[in-house]
Amino acid sequence: MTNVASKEKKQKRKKSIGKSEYNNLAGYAFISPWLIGFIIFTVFPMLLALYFSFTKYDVLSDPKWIGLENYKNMFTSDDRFRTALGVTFKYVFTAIPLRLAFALFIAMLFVQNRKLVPLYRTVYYLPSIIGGSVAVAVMWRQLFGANGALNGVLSSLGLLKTQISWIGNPNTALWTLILLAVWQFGSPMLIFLAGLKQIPISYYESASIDGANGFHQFTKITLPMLSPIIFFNLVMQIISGFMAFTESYIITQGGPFDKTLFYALYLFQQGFQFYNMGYACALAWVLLAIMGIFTALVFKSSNYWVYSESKEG
Amino acid sequence: MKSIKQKRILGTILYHGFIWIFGFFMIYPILWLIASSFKDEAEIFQKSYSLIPSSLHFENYIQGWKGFGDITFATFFKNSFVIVILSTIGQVASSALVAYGFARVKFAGQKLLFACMIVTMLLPSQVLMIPQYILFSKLGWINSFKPLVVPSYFGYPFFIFLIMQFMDGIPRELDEAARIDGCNQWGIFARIMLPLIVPALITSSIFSFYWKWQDFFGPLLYIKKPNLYPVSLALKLFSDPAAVTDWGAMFAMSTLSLVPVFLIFIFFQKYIVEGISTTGLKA
Amino acid sequence: MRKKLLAFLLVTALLLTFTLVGCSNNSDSSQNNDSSNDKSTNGTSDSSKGTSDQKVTLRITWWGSQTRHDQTLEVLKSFQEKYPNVTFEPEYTAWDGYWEKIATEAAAGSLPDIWQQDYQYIKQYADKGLLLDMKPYSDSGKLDLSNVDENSIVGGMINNKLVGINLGNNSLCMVYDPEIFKQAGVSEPTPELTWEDYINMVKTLHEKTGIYGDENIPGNYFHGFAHYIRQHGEQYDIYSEDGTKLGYDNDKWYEEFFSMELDLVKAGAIPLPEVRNEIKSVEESLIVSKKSAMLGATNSNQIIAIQKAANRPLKMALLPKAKDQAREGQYVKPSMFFSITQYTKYPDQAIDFVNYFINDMDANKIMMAERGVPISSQIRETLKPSLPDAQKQMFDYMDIVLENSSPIGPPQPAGHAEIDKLLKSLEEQICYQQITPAAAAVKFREEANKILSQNAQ
Repeated sequence: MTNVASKEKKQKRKKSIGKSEYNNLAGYAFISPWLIGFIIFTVFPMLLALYFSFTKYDVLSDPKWIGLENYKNMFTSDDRFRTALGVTFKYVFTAIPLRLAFALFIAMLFVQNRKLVPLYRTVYYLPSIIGGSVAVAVMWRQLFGANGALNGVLSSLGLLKTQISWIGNPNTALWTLILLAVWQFGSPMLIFLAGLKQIPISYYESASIDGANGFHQFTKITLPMLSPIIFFNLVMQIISGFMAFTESYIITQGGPFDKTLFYALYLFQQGFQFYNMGYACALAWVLLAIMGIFTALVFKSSNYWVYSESKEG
Repeated sequence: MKSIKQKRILGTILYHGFIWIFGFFMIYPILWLIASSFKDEAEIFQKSYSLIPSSLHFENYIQGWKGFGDITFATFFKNSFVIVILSTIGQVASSALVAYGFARVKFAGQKLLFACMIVTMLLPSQVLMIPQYILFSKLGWINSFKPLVVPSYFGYPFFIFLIMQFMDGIPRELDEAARIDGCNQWGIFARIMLPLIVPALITSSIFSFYWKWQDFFGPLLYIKKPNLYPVSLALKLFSDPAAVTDWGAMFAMSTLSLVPVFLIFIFFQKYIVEGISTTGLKA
Repeated sequence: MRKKLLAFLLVTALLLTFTLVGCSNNSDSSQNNDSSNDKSTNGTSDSSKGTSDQKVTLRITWWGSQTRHDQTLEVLKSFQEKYPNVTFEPEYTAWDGYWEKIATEAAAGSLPDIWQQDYQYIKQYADKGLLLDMKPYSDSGKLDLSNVDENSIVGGMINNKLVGINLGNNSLCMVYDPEIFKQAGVSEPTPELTWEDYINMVKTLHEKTGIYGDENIPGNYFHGFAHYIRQHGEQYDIYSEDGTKLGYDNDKWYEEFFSMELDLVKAGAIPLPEVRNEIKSVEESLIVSKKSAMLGATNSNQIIAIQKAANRPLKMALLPKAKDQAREGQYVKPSMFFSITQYTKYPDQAIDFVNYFINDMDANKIMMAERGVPISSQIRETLKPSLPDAQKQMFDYMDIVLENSSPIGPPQPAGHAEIDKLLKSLEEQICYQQITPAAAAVKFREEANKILSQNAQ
C-alpha cells in the first residue's frame, strides 16, 4: 500500500467512527459512583473552601468578605509563604527523584523469582507501613537526635567531633525528612513491581534470542512497557511531595526556624493554629494552581514518552 | 564453563549480600521500635540505639492492651478492622468500575471530567476538613463510621488513576475479540479486564488498607465516643507532653498495630506475582 | 453537550453550597436563642428542682494521657451516683489534635457542653461569645467558690465574665538535682536567687561536672521572657491589656534577656535549640538522663511526672528574681479550666458537675491533684496529708509561690499562636548567631505589632 492510500483509509475509518463510537450511557454508568460522590462530597467543600479564601474567617465566628486581600498579602508581605514554597520545592525536587529511582531499582531486583525474594519484598516494604504514627517521630529522633544511634555509631568510629542533632540543626533538618521520605519508597516500589510483572516474559525471551543484551532489553522493552506506570508514579509522587505534611508535623513541626516548613504544614498552622482559615484556604488554592501547572506539564509531555498498548498506532 | 558458573555464584552472592546489608538499614528503625516495646521505660531513651532489650518486659503489652477507662485495645482493633475492611472493599471496587469507564469507554465530556478528577487530588485535605465536617454534621453522620466509610464507595481518584494506567497496558484487541463474541461493556469489564488487572487491584487494596488503618485526623474529627475509636486514634492517647507518658505501652501497641498491615501485605503480595500467569494469554 | 454538562454541575454544586452555608448560620442563631431562654431561668429555685428530675446527657471533653483519662472517668461515675439523672458522653483525646477538634466543632456549632480549656485559647473563645458566663451561678451560690481565693478565680474572668473555672493552680518552677549540686560544690538556689546568681550557678555547674547546667533558660523563650518583663513593673507584660500591641516599650529588655541566653549557649551551660527541640516529653528531659543538672522551667504540676521518670529525688525552686525588681515576675496560673459552652441545653447540670469537680472530697481523692493544686482551701487542707511525696512537694512549692508572686497578666490574645512561633524562630536564629539580639528585638516588635494590630478592628 502506498502512503497516500493508507492515509485515506485511516481518514475513512475516522469518519465512520465519528459519533457512533460514543457510548454515553455505558460511560456515565461506569463513572457514576465517582460522579455522584464528586458532586456530594467534594464539589461542595471545594467551593466552600474557595469562598472562604476570599474572606477573613477565624473559624469561631462567621466569615467576612474581603475580596482578594488574602491573595494580595500572600504575595507581597508574607515571608513565611516564600519560605514554605522554597522548602517544599527543595523537598520535591530531591526526595521525589531519589525515591523513584530507588523504587525502580529495587523493584527490578525483586522481579526475579529468586529464593527469598518474597521475604525481601516484605522487608523493603515494611518502612512504608510505619507511616505517620507517633512512634515514627520518636524513632526518627532516637536515630538522628543529638544522643541518637547515628551519633553513637559515628563517635565510636571516631568520626564525630561535636555532638550535633541532625534533626534539629538548621543545616541538616530538612535532609533527615528527605531521608525519611526516601526510606519509605515501598509504595512506588510496589507499583513498579506490579507493572513489571505485567510485561510478558515472552518479550524478553524473543529479545534474548535476537541477541539483545541486558541494557538493550531495559531501554527497549522495560522502560517503554513500564512508561504508563512511571508516568503514574511521577504524577502521584509530585502531588504527594507538594502536599507533604505528616513528616514535618510530627517530627520537626516546621523547625528550626521554618527550615522544614512544608507548605501544607504552613497552611495547617494558619488555619488551625492561628485561626486564619480564610488565608489558609487562599494558600490551598495557590498550591492547587502550582500543582496543576506541574501536573499539566507532565501530562502534556506524556504524549512523547508514554507508550500505551491500547493506543492505536 | 567453570567461569560462567563462578560468575553466577558471584552474582548471587552480590545480589543477596547487597540486599541484606541495605535491607538492614531499611529495617533497623522498625527493629528499634519492636525492641523498645519490650524495654523498660528508662532504657528506651537511655540506651536508645541498642536493639536488644536487657530483659523482656511483656508487661508493656499487658498494660498497653488495657487501654483507657474500661475500653481495651480489643475494641480499638475491632473498630479499626470494621472501618478499614469496609472502606477498602468500597474503594477498590468502585475505583475499578470508574477506571474502566474513563479508560475504555468513549463518552461526551470525558476529558473534562477526568481533569476534574485529577484536580480533586490537588486540594490539600486540611482545607477541606471544616467544610466536609459541616456537611457531615448536616447529614447527622457525626460520631459514626459513616463519614469515614461511605465516601469510599464513590471511587478514590488515586486508585482510579492507578487502575487506568494498568488498563492502558491491556491491548484493545482483547476487547474487540470479546465484543465480537457478543459481550457488552459490562461483560468486557467483568470477564476480560478484571482478571487481567489483578496486580493493580491487589496493590490498590494494600494501599487502601494501610492508609485507612493509620488515618488519624478523620477519626479525630468524626468519632466522638472513645469506644468507637480506631487504633490510630487510641495510640495517641498514651502520650501527653505535660504528664506521664507510658512509652513502653505505646510502643507495644504501636508494634501490635503494625501486625495486621504486615499480614495483609504478606498474604497478598503473591497475587501481585501471580499476575504474570494471566498475561500469557497473548500466545 | 460539554457546556451543558459543565453548567449543570456548577449549578448543582453552587445550590448545594449556598443551601448548606445558609443552613449552618441559621442553626447557630437558633441555638443561641435556646440558651438565652435557658438563661432567664437560671439561679432560681425552680430550675434547681428541674435539675434533679430531668434526664440529662452531658457531652464532656478533655485532653490528657492514660492516668487522667482513667481518673476523670471515675469521677464521672462518682458524680452519677449522686446525680443519677445525668448521663455523660465523654470524649477524650490527647493534647495533640485537641484544639483542631474543638475548632472544627465550633465551626459547625456543635461544641460539647463541658470542655477542658487552656489559658492560651480562653480569650479567643470568650470573645466570640461561645462560653457561658458562670458568674450568676457563683453569685447565687450554686457554684460554690466560697473556699476559693480571688487569685484563683481571676484567671477565668474575661471581659468581666467568669468563663472558665480553674481546675488546679500551678506556677513555673525550676527543677534541679540536689545530688549533682552537691557534687559540684554549688549551693542550692534559694527564693532570693537573682539572674546574676543564676548565670553563675549554671556556668559553674557546667564547668565542674561537664554536663549542662540547665536544659533551657528558665521559662524558655516565651514565659521566661514574660517573667523578665513583668519584673520591671506592674504595667508591663508581653502583651498589652487589650491585646492590640506589645506590653513593653523598651527593646533593651529583649536584648538583655536573649543575650543572657546566647551567653549561656556559647559557654556550653545550656544546649543549642536543636538539642532542646528534640525533647517532646517529660521522659526525654536531659535531667532524667543526667545530662543536665536542672530542667529549665516547667509547670509545677509536672513535678509528678518528672519525679517518676527520673526515679531519684529532685527539688523545685522559684525562677530568678531581678535585683531591684519593681514587682515579682512569678505568678500563680490556672493549669487548665473547665468551660461551659454558651449554647448548652443543660447549663444547670453542667454547673452542678463543675461544682462537684472542684468541691467534692471524693472526687478530689480520685484525682490526687493531677491537674494542679486544687483551688478550694478546704480540699487542699484535707487532701494534703494523704498525698504521695511528689504531690506534697507541689503543694509546698505553691505555698512559697503565693508569698513571692504578683497577679497573673492578661490572657493571651488572638494572634498569640503566631507570635509564639515568631518569638521561637527569632530565639533560634539568635542562638545560631544568624541575628543579633538587638536586631531581633526590633524585628520582633515590628512583626508582633503587625499581628496584634488586627485585634484592634
